[in-house]
Amino acid sequence: MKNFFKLLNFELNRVMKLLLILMGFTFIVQLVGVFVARSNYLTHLEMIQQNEGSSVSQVLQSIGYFSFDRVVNSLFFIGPIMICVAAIMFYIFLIWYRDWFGKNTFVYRLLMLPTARINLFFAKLTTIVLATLSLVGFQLIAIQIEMLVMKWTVPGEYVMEVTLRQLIEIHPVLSLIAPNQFELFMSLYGAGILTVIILFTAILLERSYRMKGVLFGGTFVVAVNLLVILPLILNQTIFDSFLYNGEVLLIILALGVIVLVGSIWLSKRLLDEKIRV
Amino acid sequence: MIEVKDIVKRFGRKTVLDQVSFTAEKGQITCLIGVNGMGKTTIMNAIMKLTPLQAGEILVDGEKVTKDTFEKIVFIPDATIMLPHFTIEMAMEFMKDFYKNWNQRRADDMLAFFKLNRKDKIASLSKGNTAKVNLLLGLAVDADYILMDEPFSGIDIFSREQIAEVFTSHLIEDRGVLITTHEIGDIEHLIDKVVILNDGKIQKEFMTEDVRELEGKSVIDVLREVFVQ
Repeated sequence: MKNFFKLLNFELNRVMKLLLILMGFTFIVQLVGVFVARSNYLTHLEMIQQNEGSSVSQVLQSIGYFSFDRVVNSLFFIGPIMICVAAIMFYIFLIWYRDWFGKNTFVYRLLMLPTARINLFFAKLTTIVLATLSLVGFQLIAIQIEMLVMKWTVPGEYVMEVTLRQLIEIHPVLSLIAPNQFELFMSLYGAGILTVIILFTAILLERSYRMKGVLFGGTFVVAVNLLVILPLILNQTIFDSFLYNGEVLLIILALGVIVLVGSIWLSKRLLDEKIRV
Repeated sequence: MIEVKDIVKRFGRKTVLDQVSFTAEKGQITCLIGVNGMGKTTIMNAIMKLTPLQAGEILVDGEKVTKDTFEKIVFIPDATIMLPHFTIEMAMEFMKDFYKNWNQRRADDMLAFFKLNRKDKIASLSKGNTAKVNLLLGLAVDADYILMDEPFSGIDIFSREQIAEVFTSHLIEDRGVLITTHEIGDIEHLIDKVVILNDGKIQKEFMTEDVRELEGKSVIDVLREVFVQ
Protein backbone atom coordinates (compact mmCIF):
# COMPACT_ATOMS: atom_id res chain seq x y z
CA MET A 1 0.00 0.00 0.00
CA LYS A 2 2.86 2.35 0.89
CA ASN A 3 4.42 1.69 -2.50
CA PHE A 4 1.11 2.40 -4.21
CA PHE A 5 1.04 5.87 -2.65
CA LYS A 6 4.67 6.47 -3.58
CA LEU A 7 3.92 5.52 -7.17
CA LEU A 8 0.76 7.64 -7.13
CA ASN A 9 2.70 10.61 -5.83
CA PHE A 10 5.29 10.03 -8.54
CA GLU A 11 2.67 9.81 -11.31
CA LEU A 12 0.85 12.89 -10.00
CA ASN A 13 4.07 14.86 -10.12
CA ARG A 14 4.53 13.79 -13.71
CA VAL A 15 1.05 14.99 -14.75
CA MET A 16 1.08 18.17 -12.63
CA LYS A 17 2.62 20.41 -15.29
CA LEU A 18 0.09 19.32 -17.89
CA LEU A 19 -2.76 19.90 -15.44
CA LEU A 20 -1.56 23.38 -14.55
CA ILE A 21 -1.20 24.28 -18.23
CA LEU A 22 -4.72 22.99 -18.96
CA MET A 23 -6.16 24.86 -16.00
CA GLY A 24 -4.40 28.09 -16.95
CA PHE A 25 -5.45 27.75 -20.58
CA THR A 26 -9.08 27.00 -19.64
CA PHE A 27 -9.31 29.93 -17.28
CA ILE A 28 -7.74 32.45 -19.65
CA VAL A 29 -9.77 31.41 -22.71
CA GLN A 30 -13.02 31.30 -20.73
CA LEU A 31 -12.26 34.71 -19.26
CA VAL A 32 -11.73 36.01 -22.80
CA GLY A 33 -15.12 34.42 -23.54
CA VAL A 34 -16.69 36.43 -20.71
CA PHE A 35 -15.28 39.69 -22.13
CA VAL A 36 -16.28 38.83 -25.70
CA ALA A 37 -19.86 38.00 -24.61
CA ARG A 38 -19.95 41.16 -22.47
CA SER A 39 -18.66 43.33 -25.24
CA ASN A 40 -21.14 41.85 -27.78
CA TYR A 41 -23.98 42.47 -25.35
CA LEU A 42 -22.91 46.02 -24.50
CA THR A 43 -22.41 46.93 -28.17
CA HIS A 44 -25.87 45.61 -28.92
CA LEU A 45 -27.24 47.51 -25.93
CA GLU A 46 -25.60 50.78 -26.95
CA MET A 47 -26.89 50.46 -30.49
CA ILE A 48 -30.43 50.06 -29.27
CA GLN A 49 -30.10 52.91 -26.80
CA GLN A 50 -28.60 55.25 -29.42
CA ASN A 51 -31.07 54.43 -32.15
CA GLU A 52 -34.20 54.22 -30.12
CA GLY A 53 -33.30 55.93 -26.88
CA SER A 54 -35.00 53.10 -25.06
CA SER A 55 -35.29 52.68 -21.34
CA VAL A 56 -33.68 49.84 -19.42
CA SER A 57 -36.88 47.80 -19.39
CA GLN A 58 -37.37 48.30 -23.12
CA VAL A 59 -33.81 47.23 -23.81
CA LEU A 60 -34.25 44.18 -21.63
CA GLN A 61 -37.42 43.32 -23.50
CA SER A 62 -35.58 43.61 -26.76
CA ILE A 63 -32.29 41.82 -26.06
CA GLY A 64 -32.87 40.19 -22.69
CA TYR A 65 -30.69 40.12 -19.59
CA PHE A 66 -27.01 39.39 -19.66
CA SER A 67 -26.57 36.13 -17.88
CA PHE A 68 -23.75 33.62 -17.73
CA ASP A 69 -25.46 31.24 -20.14
CA ARG A 70 -24.42 33.68 -22.90
CA VAL A 71 -20.84 32.78 -21.97
CA VAL A 72 -21.24 29.03 -21.52
CA ASN A 73 -22.80 28.59 -24.93
CA SER A 74 -19.82 30.09 -26.73
CA LEU A 75 -16.84 28.27 -28.17
CA PHE A 76 -14.61 30.18 -25.74
CA PHE A 77 -16.22 28.23 -22.93
CA ILE A 78 -16.81 24.81 -24.52
CA GLY A 79 -13.54 24.80 -26.48
CA PRO A 80 -11.17 24.56 -23.47
CA ILE A 81 -13.40 21.90 -21.86
CA MET A 82 -13.21 19.84 -25.05
CA ILE A 83 -9.44 20.30 -25.16
CA CYS A 84 -9.18 19.11 -21.53
CA VAL A 85 -11.33 16.06 -22.33
CA ALA A 86 -9.14 15.31 -25.36
CA ALA A 87 -5.98 15.80 -23.27
CA ILE A 88 -7.20 13.34 -20.62
CA MET A 89 -8.16 10.82 -23.34
CA PHE A 90 -4.70 11.22 -24.84
CA TYR A 91 -3.05 10.94 -21.45
CA ILE A 92 -4.77 7.56 -20.81
CA PHE A 93 -2.46 6.22 -23.52
CA LEU A 94 0.51 8.47 -22.86
CA ILE A 95 0.67 7.48 -19.18
CA TRP A 96 1.76 3.98 -20.30
CA TYR A 97 3.50 4.56 -23.60
CA ARG A 98 5.75 7.35 -22.29
CA ASP A 99 7.51 4.72 -20.16
CA TRP A 100 8.38 2.59 -23.17
CA PHE A 101 9.31 5.26 -25.68
CA GLY A 102 11.51 8.30 -25.66
CA LYS A 103 15.20 8.58 -24.96
CA ASN A 104 15.15 6.63 -21.71
CA THR A 105 13.27 3.40 -21.20
CA PHE A 106 11.84 4.07 -17.80
CA VAL A 107 9.58 1.02 -17.90
CA TYR A 108 12.62 -1.15 -17.00
CA ARG A 109 12.91 0.72 -13.71
CA LEU A 110 9.20 0.61 -12.99
CA LEU A 111 8.82 -3.11 -13.68
CA MET A 112 11.87 -3.98 -11.59
CA LEU A 113 10.71 -2.14 -8.49
CA PRO A 114 10.29 -4.42 -5.48
CA THR A 115 6.54 -3.91 -5.42
CA ALA A 116 3.53 -5.68 -6.91
CA ARG A 117 3.32 -4.57 -10.53
CA ILE A 118 -0.43 -4.12 -10.30
CA ASN A 119 0.39 -1.09 -8.13
CA LEU A 120 1.63 0.60 -11.32
CA PHE A 121 -1.76 -0.06 -12.86
CA PHE A 122 -3.67 1.33 -9.88
CA ALA A 123 -1.35 4.33 -9.51
CA LYS A 124 -1.82 5.24 -13.17
CA LEU A 125 -5.58 4.68 -12.93
CA THR A 126 -5.88 6.83 -9.81
CA THR A 127 -3.80 9.52 -11.50
CA ILE A 128 -6.23 9.66 -14.42
CA VAL A 129 -9.22 9.81 -12.04
CA LEU A 130 -7.66 12.50 -9.83
CA ALA A 131 -6.51 14.51 -12.86
CA THR A 132 -10.06 14.42 -14.25
CA LEU A 133 -11.63 15.35 -10.93
CA SER A 134 -9.20 18.20 -10.37
CA LEU A 135 -9.95 19.61 -13.82
CA VAL A 136 -13.68 19.38 -13.14
CA GLY A 137 -13.23 20.89 -9.68
CA PHE A 138 -11.14 23.67 -11.14
CA GLN A 139 -13.78 24.29 -13.81
CA LEU A 140 -16.46 24.73 -11.16
CA ILE A 141 -14.31 27.21 -9.24
CA ALA A 142 -13.36 28.99 -12.47
CA ILE A 143 -17.05 29.41 -13.36
CA GLN A 144 -17.67 31.15 -10.02
CA ILE A 145 -14.78 33.54 -10.63
CA GLU A 146 -15.88 34.14 -14.22
CA MET A 147 -19.40 34.93 -12.98
CA LEU A 148 -17.96 37.43 -10.53
CA VAL A 149 -15.95 39.08 -13.31
CA MET A 150 -19.13 39.25 -15.38
CA LYS A 151 -20.97 40.91 -12.51
CA TRP A 152 -18.23 43.48 -12.04
CA THR A 153 -18.03 44.46 -15.68
CA VAL A 154 -21.67 44.58 -16.78
CA PRO A 155 -24.01 47.20 -15.33
CA GLY A 156 -26.05 45.57 -12.56
CA GLU A 157 -29.47 46.37 -13.99
CA TYR A 158 -28.78 44.24 -17.07
CA VAL A 159 -27.38 41.23 -15.21
CA MET A 160 -29.44 38.21 -14.39
CA GLU A 161 -27.67 36.01 -11.90
CA VAL A 162 -27.81 32.25 -12.29
CA THR A 163 -26.55 29.78 -9.77
CA LEU A 164 -23.98 27.12 -10.63
CA ARG A 165 -26.65 24.48 -10.06
CA GLN A 166 -28.99 26.13 -12.59
CA LEU A 167 -26.15 26.52 -15.04
CA ILE A 168 -25.30 22.81 -14.81
CA GLU A 169 -28.93 21.89 -15.31
CA ILE A 170 -29.32 23.84 -18.54
CA HIS A 171 -25.94 23.07 -20.01
CA PRO A 172 -25.48 19.68 -21.71
CA VAL A 173 -21.67 19.54 -21.31
CA LEU A 174 -21.62 20.76 -17.71
CA SER A 175 -24.40 18.37 -16.71
CA LEU A 176 -22.25 15.59 -18.11
CA ILE A 177 -18.98 16.49 -16.37
CA ALA A 178 -20.50 17.62 -13.07
CA PRO A 179 -24.04 16.27 -12.75
CA ASN A 180 -26.21 17.67 -9.96
CA GLN A 181 -27.58 14.28 -8.89
CA PHE A 182 -25.22 12.12 -6.87
CA GLU A 183 -26.49 8.87 -8.46
CA LEU A 184 -25.86 10.26 -11.92
CA PHE A 185 -22.41 11.46 -10.89
CA MET A 186 -21.56 7.99 -9.55
CA SER A 187 -22.92 6.22 -12.64
CA LEU A 188 -21.11 8.52 -15.09
CA TYR A 189 -17.79 8.43 -13.25
CA GLY A 190 -18.19 4.69 -12.56
CA ALA A 191 -18.66 4.08 -16.29
CA GLY A 192 -15.72 6.40 -16.98
CA ILE A 193 -13.40 4.56 -14.59
CA LEU A 194 -14.49 1.22 -16.06
CA THR A 195 -13.70 2.57 -19.55
CA VAL A 196 -10.22 3.63 -18.43
CA ILE A 197 -9.63 0.19 -16.87
CA ILE A 198 -10.72 -1.52 -20.11
CA LEU A 199 -8.45 0.75 -22.15
CA PHE A 200 -5.52 0.09 -19.78
CA THR A 201 -6.03 -3.65 -20.23
CA ALA A 202 -6.11 -3.18 -24.01
CA ILE A 203 -2.86 -1.17 -23.81
CA LEU A 204 -1.24 -3.92 -21.71
CA LEU A 205 -2.40 -6.52 -24.24
CA GLU A 206 -0.69 -4.49 -26.95
CA ARG A 207 2.48 -4.03 -24.82
CA SER A 208 2.58 -7.79 -24.15
CA TYR A 209 1.82 -9.17 -27.60
CA ARG A 210 2.71 -6.13 -29.75
CA MET A 211 1.18 -6.52 -33.27
CA LYS A 212 -1.00 -9.44 -32.25
CA GLY A 213 -1.81 -7.48 -29.10
CA VAL A 214 -3.42 -4.68 -31.14
CA LEU A 215 -5.89 -7.27 -32.39
CA PHE A 216 -6.35 -8.79 -28.92
CA GLY A 217 -6.80 -5.34 -27.37
CA GLY A 218 -9.30 -4.26 -30.03
CA THR A 219 -11.26 -7.50 -29.67
CA PHE A 220 -11.22 -7.16 -25.88
CA VAL A 221 -12.63 -3.61 -25.97
CA VAL A 222 -15.40 -4.56 -28.45
CA ALA A 223 -16.24 -7.79 -26.56
CA VAL A 224 -16.59 -6.22 -23.10
CA ASN A 225 -18.63 -3.34 -24.49
CA LEU A 226 -20.97 -5.76 -26.21
CA LEU A 227 -21.23 -7.82 -23.03
CA VAL A 228 -22.21 -4.80 -20.96
CA ILE A 229 -24.90 -3.54 -23.36
CA LEU A 230 -26.12 -7.06 -24.23
CA PRO A 231 -29.00 -7.03 -21.67
CA LEU A 232 -30.28 -3.80 -23.21
CA ILE A 233 -30.19 -5.21 -26.74
CA LEU A 234 -31.70 -8.55 -25.73
CA ASN A 235 -34.50 -6.92 -23.74
CA GLN A 236 -35.45 -4.76 -26.67
CA THR A 237 -35.26 -7.51 -29.27
CA ILE A 238 -35.70 -11.14 -28.21
CA PHE A 239 -37.37 -10.49 -24.84
CA ASP A 240 -39.62 -7.77 -26.19
CA SER A 241 -39.20 -5.49 -23.13
CA PHE A 242 -39.97 -8.35 -20.73
CA LEU A 243 -37.71 -6.81 -18.08
CA TYR A 244 -38.23 -3.44 -16.40
CA ASN A 245 -35.62 -0.77 -17.05
CA GLY A 246 -34.50 -1.00 -13.43
CA GLU A 247 -33.89 -4.73 -13.82
CA VAL A 248 -31.92 -4.24 -17.02
CA LEU A 249 -29.86 -1.60 -15.24
CA LEU A 250 -29.12 -4.01 -12.39
CA ILE A 251 -27.96 -6.69 -14.82
CA ILE A 252 -25.77 -4.11 -16.60
CA LEU A 253 -24.34 -3.08 -13.25
CA ALA A 254 -23.56 -6.71 -12.37
CA LEU A 255 -21.93 -7.25 -15.77
CA GLY A 256 -19.97 -4.03 -15.25
CA VAL A 257 -18.60 -5.39 -11.99
CA ILE A 258 -17.68 -8.68 -13.69
CA VAL A 259 -15.89 -6.78 -16.49
CA LEU A 260 -14.12 -4.61 -13.90
CA VAL A 261 -12.83 -7.58 -11.90
CA GLY A 262 -11.98 -9.56 -15.06
CA SER A 263 -10.14 -6.64 -16.61
CA ILE A 264 -8.05 -6.02 -13.49
CA TRP A 265 -7.30 -9.75 -13.17
CA LEU A 266 -6.16 -9.90 -16.81
CA SER A 267 -4.05 -6.76 -16.39
CA LYS A 268 -2.35 -8.21 -13.32
CA ARG A 269 -1.58 -11.42 -15.19
CA LEU A 270 -0.21 -9.50 -18.15
CA LEU A 271 1.98 -7.30 -15.95
CA ASP A 272 3.28 -10.26 -13.96
CA GLU A 273 3.80 -12.79 -16.72
CA LYS A 274 3.53 -11.41 -20.23
CA ILE A 275 4.74 -7.83 -20.33
CA ARG A 276 7.74 -6.97 -22.54
CA VAL A 277 10.14 -4.08 -22.29
CA MET B 1 22.39 -18.99 -6.90
CA ILE B 2 20.65 -17.97 -10.12
CA GLU B 3 19.45 -21.08 -11.91
CA VAL B 4 18.40 -20.80 -15.53
CA LYS B 5 16.69 -24.06 -16.43
CA ASP B 6 15.86 -25.16 -19.98
CA ILE B 7 14.52 -21.80 -21.04
CA VAL B 8 13.05 -21.40 -24.51
CA LYS B 9 12.35 -18.04 -26.10
CA ARG B 10 10.92 -17.52 -29.54
CA PHE B 11 10.35 -14.26 -31.37
CA GLY B 12 7.76 -15.20 -33.98
CA ARG B 13 9.16 -18.29 -35.68
CA LYS B 14 12.74 -17.57 -34.68
CA THR B 15 14.00 -19.50 -31.66
CA VAL B 16 16.42 -17.21 -29.85
CA LEU B 17 16.98 -19.38 -26.78
CA ASP B 18 16.69 -23.12 -27.14
CA GLN B 19 16.69 -25.03 -23.87
CA VAL B 20 19.29 -22.80 -22.28
CA SER B 21 20.48 -23.85 -18.82
CA PHE B 22 23.26 -22.51 -16.63
CA THR B 23 23.88 -21.22 -13.14
CA ALA B 24 25.49 -18.12 -11.69
CA GLU B 25 26.75 -18.46 -8.14
CA LYS B 26 27.00 -15.93 -5.35
CA GLY B 27 30.52 -14.67 -4.81
CA GLN B 28 31.45 -15.32 -8.43
CA ILE B 29 31.56 -13.24 -11.59
CA THR B 30 29.88 -15.17 -14.36
CA CYS B 31 30.28 -13.86 -17.87
CA LEU B 32 27.73 -14.61 -20.55
CA ILE B 33 29.43 -14.38 -23.90
CA GLY B 34 27.94 -14.57 -27.37
CA VAL B 35 27.75 -12.74 -30.67
CA ASN B 36 25.25 -9.87 -30.86
CA GLY B 37 21.64 -10.94 -31.27
CA MET B 38 22.29 -14.30 -29.64
CA GLY B 39 19.87 -13.67 -26.78
CA LYS B 40 22.18 -12.53 -23.97
CA THR B 41 20.03 -9.50 -23.15
CA THR B 42 16.91 -11.66 -23.50
CA ILE B 43 18.25 -13.95 -20.76
CA MET B 44 18.82 -10.93 -18.49
CA ASN B 45 15.33 -9.64 -19.27
CA ALA B 46 13.85 -13.07 -18.62
CA ILE B 47 15.55 -13.30 -15.21
CA MET B 48 13.97 -9.95 -14.29
CA LYS B 49 10.59 -10.97 -15.73
CA LEU B 50 10.80 -8.31 -18.38
CA THR B 51 10.00 -10.72 -21.18
CA PRO B 52 7.91 -13.90 -21.13
CA LEU B 53 9.39 -17.32 -21.89
CA GLN B 54 7.84 -20.13 -23.90
CA ALA B 55 9.31 -22.81 -21.62
CA GLY B 56 11.68 -23.40 -18.75
CA GLU B 57 12.07 -21.67 -15.44
CA ILE B 58 14.39 -19.33 -13.61
CA LEU B 59 15.08 -19.61 -9.89
CA VAL B 60 16.93 -17.26 -7.58
CA ASP B 61 18.12 -18.98 -4.40
CA GLY B 62 15.77 -21.83 -5.23
CA GLU B 63 12.69 -19.64 -5.56
CA LYS B 64 10.74 -18.25 -8.47
CA VAL B 65 11.23 -14.56 -9.17
CA THR B 66 8.64 -12.41 -7.39
CA LYS B 67 8.51 -8.76 -6.36
CA ASP B 68 10.53 -9.60 -3.25
CA THR B 69 13.30 -11.04 -5.41
CA PHE B 70 13.91 -7.54 -6.78
CA GLU B 71 15.37 -6.55 -3.41
CA LYS B 72 18.12 -9.11 -3.84
CA ILE B 73 18.76 -8.98 -7.56
CA VAL B 74 19.36 -5.82 -9.56
CA PHE B 75 19.70 -5.39 -13.29
CA ILE B 76 21.90 -2.72 -14.82
CA PRO B 77 20.89 -2.58 -18.47
CA ASP B 78 22.77 -1.09 -21.38
CA ALA B 79 20.25 1.77 -21.71
CA THR B 80 19.46 4.63 -19.33
CA ILE B 81 16.40 3.68 -17.36
CA MET B 82 15.88 6.78 -15.27
CA LEU B 83 13.81 9.75 -16.33
CA PRO B 84 15.97 12.15 -18.35
CA HIS B 85 14.85 15.25 -16.45
CA PHE B 86 15.89 13.69 -13.14
CA THR B 87 19.11 14.86 -11.57
CA ILE B 88 21.41 12.17 -10.14
CA GLU B 89 20.18 13.22 -6.71
CA MET B 90 16.52 12.77 -7.69
CA ALA B 91 17.33 9.37 -9.15
CA MET B 92 18.98 8.35 -5.86
CA GLU B 93 15.96 9.64 -3.93
CA PHE B 94 13.68 7.59 -6.15
CA MET B 95 15.71 4.44 -5.49
CA LYS B 96 15.86 5.17 -1.77
CA ASP B 97 12.09 5.53 -1.72
CA PHE B 98 11.41 2.11 -3.18
CA TYR B 99 14.31 -0.12 -2.10
CA LYS B 100 14.61 -1.19 1.52
CA ASN B 101 18.15 -2.29 0.67
CA TRP B 102 19.27 1.08 -0.68
CA ASN B 103 22.65 1.98 0.77
CA GLN B 104 23.12 5.75 0.63
CA ARG B 105 26.65 5.65 2.02
CA ARG B 106 27.70 3.35 -0.79
CA ALA B 107 25.94 5.59 -3.31
CA ASP B 108 27.84 8.62 -1.96
CA ASP B 109 31.13 6.70 -2.13
CA MET B 110 30.51 5.80 -5.74
CA LEU B 111 29.47 9.35 -6.56
CA ALA B 112 32.86 10.51 -5.28
CA PHE B 113 34.75 7.66 -6.94
CA PHE B 114 33.19 8.35 -10.35
CA LYS B 115 33.52 12.13 -9.81
CA LEU B 116 29.85 12.68 -10.60
CA ASN B 117 27.92 15.81 -9.61
CA ARG B 118 24.65 14.97 -7.85
CA LYS B 119 22.99 18.10 -9.27
CA ASP B 120 23.63 17.08 -12.90
CA LYS B 121 20.64 16.12 -14.98
CA ILE B 122 20.77 12.58 -16.35
CA ALA B 123 19.88 13.81 -19.86
CA SER B 124 22.95 16.06 -19.90
CA LEU B 125 25.47 13.31 -19.09
CA SER B 126 27.94 11.77 -21.53
CA LYS B 127 27.54 8.10 -22.43
CA GLY B 128 30.35 7.20 -20.05
CA ASN B 129 28.85 9.11 -17.14
CA THR B 130 25.39 7.74 -17.88
CA ALA B 131 26.83 4.24 -17.61
CA LYS B 132 28.42 5.21 -14.30
CA VAL B 133 25.11 6.50 -12.96
CA ASN B 134 23.45 3.26 -14.08
CA LEU B 135 26.11 1.35 -12.23
CA LEU B 136 25.78 3.53 -9.15
CA LEU B 137 22.00 3.11 -8.99
CA GLY B 138 22.37 -0.65 -9.30
CA LEU B 139 25.33 -1.24 -7.02
CA ALA B 140 24.07 1.00 -4.22
CA VAL B 141 21.28 -1.49 -3.62
CA ASP B 142 22.54 -4.08 -1.13
CA ALA B 143 21.51 -6.90 -3.44
CA ASP B 144 22.97 -10.39 -3.52
CA TYR B 145 23.03 -10.59 -7.29
CA ILE B 146 23.84 -8.05 -9.97
CA LEU B 147 23.09 -8.45 -13.64
CA MET B 148 25.03 -6.17 -15.98
CA ASP B 149 24.34 -5.91 -19.66
CA GLU B 150 27.29 -4.68 -21.70
CA PRO B 151 28.61 -2.22 -19.10
CA PHE B 152 31.53 -1.24 -21.36
CA SER B 153 29.68 -0.80 -24.62
CA GLY B 154 30.42 2.49 -26.41
CA ILE B 155 32.27 3.96 -23.45
CA ASP B 156 35.57 5.86 -23.53
CA ILE B 157 38.73 4.16 -22.29
CA PHE B 158 38.98 6.13 -19.02
CA SER B 159 35.42 5.40 -18.01
CA ARG B 160 36.03 1.78 -18.90
CA GLU B 161 39.01 1.63 -16.62
CA GLN B 162 37.01 3.17 -13.80
CA ILE B 163 34.15 0.75 -14.29
CA ALA B 164 36.56 -2.21 -14.48
CA GLU B 165 38.06 -1.01 -11.21
CA VAL B 166 34.65 -1.41 -9.60
CA PHE B 167 34.86 -5.14 -10.29
CA THR B 168 37.91 -5.51 -8.11
CA SER B 169 36.48 -3.42 -5.28
CA HIS B 170 34.37 -4.19 -2.23
CA LEU B 171 31.36 -3.09 -4.26
CA ILE B 172 31.25 -6.46 -5.95
CA GLU B 173 32.78 -8.65 -3.27
CA ASP B 174 30.61 -11.52 -2.06
CA ARG B 175 27.90 -10.75 -4.56
CA GLY B 176 26.93 -12.87 -7.53
CA VAL B 177 27.53 -11.04 -10.78
CA LEU B 178 26.19 -12.07 -14.16
CA ILE B 179 27.64 -9.91 -16.89
CA THR B 180 27.39 -9.83 -20.66
CA THR B 181 30.13 -8.17 -22.63
CA HIS B 182 31.95 -8.17 -25.93
CA GLU B 183 34.91 -6.42 -24.46
CA ILE B 184 36.16 -9.38 -22.52
CA GLY B 185 39.69 -7.95 -22.40
CA ASP B 186 38.69 -5.38 -19.78
CA ILE B 187 37.70 -7.94 -17.20
CA GLU B 188 39.09 -11.25 -18.40
CA HIS B 189 41.33 -11.65 -15.34
CA LEU B 190 38.37 -11.02 -13.01
CA ILE B 191 35.89 -13.53 -14.40
CA ASP B 192 35.31 -16.75 -12.46
CA LYS B 193 33.04 -18.48 -14.87
CA VAL B 194 32.21 -18.23 -18.56
CA VAL B 195 29.00 -19.30 -20.28
CA ILE B 196 29.22 -19.24 -24.07
CA LEU B 197 25.98 -18.79 -25.94
CA ASN B 198 25.91 -19.64 -29.62
CA ASP B 199 22.94 -20.14 -31.95
CA GLY B 200 20.56 -19.98 -29.02
CA LYS B 201 22.27 -22.80 -27.13
CA ILE B 202 24.89 -23.04 -24.44
CA GLN B 203 28.01 -24.00 -26.34
CA LYS B 204 30.32 -24.25 -23.38
CA GLU B 205 30.34 -23.46 -19.67
CA PHE B 206 33.61 -23.43 -17.76
CA MET B 207 35.51 -22.06 -14.78
CA THR B 208 38.27 -19.78 -16.00
CA GLU B 209 40.71 -21.03 -13.41
CA ASP B 210 40.31 -24.64 -14.57
CA VAL B 211 40.92 -23.71 -18.20
CA ARG B 212 43.96 -21.64 -17.28
CA GLU B 213 45.49 -24.22 -14.99
CA LEU B 214 44.53 -27.47 -16.72
CA GLU B 215 44.57 -26.44 -20.37
CA GLY B 216 46.84 -23.40 -20.20
CA LYS B 217 44.36 -21.35 -22.19
CA SER B 218 42.94 -17.88 -21.71
CA VAL B 219 39.24 -17.09 -22.06
CA ILE B 220 39.95 -15.50 -25.44
CA ASP B 221 41.64 -18.75 -26.61
CA VAL B 222 38.56 -20.77 -25.72
CA LEU B 223 36.27 -18.21 -27.37
CA ARG B 224 38.35 -18.37 -30.52
CA GLU B 225 38.01 -22.16 -30.55
CA VAL B 226 34.25 -21.98 -30.18
CA PHE B 227 33.46 -19.15 -32.57
CA VAL B 228 36.06 -19.84 -35.25
CA GLN B 229 35.06 -23.52 -35.56
